[in-house]
Amino acid sequence: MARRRATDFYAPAYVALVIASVGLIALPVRMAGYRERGVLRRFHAAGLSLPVVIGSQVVVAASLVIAGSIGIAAVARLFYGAMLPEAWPQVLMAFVLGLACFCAIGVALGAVLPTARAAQGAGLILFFVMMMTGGAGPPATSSATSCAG
Amino acid sequence: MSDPLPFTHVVLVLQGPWLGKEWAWTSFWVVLAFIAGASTISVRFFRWD
Repeated sequence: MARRRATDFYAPAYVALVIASVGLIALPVRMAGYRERGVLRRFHAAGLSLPVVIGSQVVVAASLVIAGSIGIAAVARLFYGAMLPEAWPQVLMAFVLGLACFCAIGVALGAVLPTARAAQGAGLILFFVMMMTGGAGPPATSSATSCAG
Repeated sequence: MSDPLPFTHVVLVLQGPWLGKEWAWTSFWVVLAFIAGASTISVRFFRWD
């Protein structure tokens, strides 16, 4: 197997970062904001079902994530020479799985948190903790001794 | 510390096929568990107002 460079590992991690940022920040803030402003109540009064409301939010989130991920992969390849996926079908399956995971978490946050500000606070805390500990942050070896664990 | 969080597992599931490595089955099941748990919370606690 060819020797992998750091950028090869970072490219999929940054794609996951795009998924997490939309799922943990954008999605819950929008849903909690809708509730705060009475938009969800009007949707309910208009006869929209819960799957339709959640599904529409997930479709919007998925569109953002797809655009961002294509951008990440293109920049990583063109400017940093990172490798493109070796097994496209499995990568697409993993992408959909990750998208479903963070959309589910985002909808859950939006469901339980009362205001957009609360959702933003919780989402940002989760996002930064996950980013710094989950393989998309700086390598532990480049961190200060107190942060390297 | 990062193992209980879903992001690590999503990264591992993505990195496997992207880099030509094996599919990360353990992470796959962990991600599925997060999807099931979060969906349950959403349906159970969702409020319209």
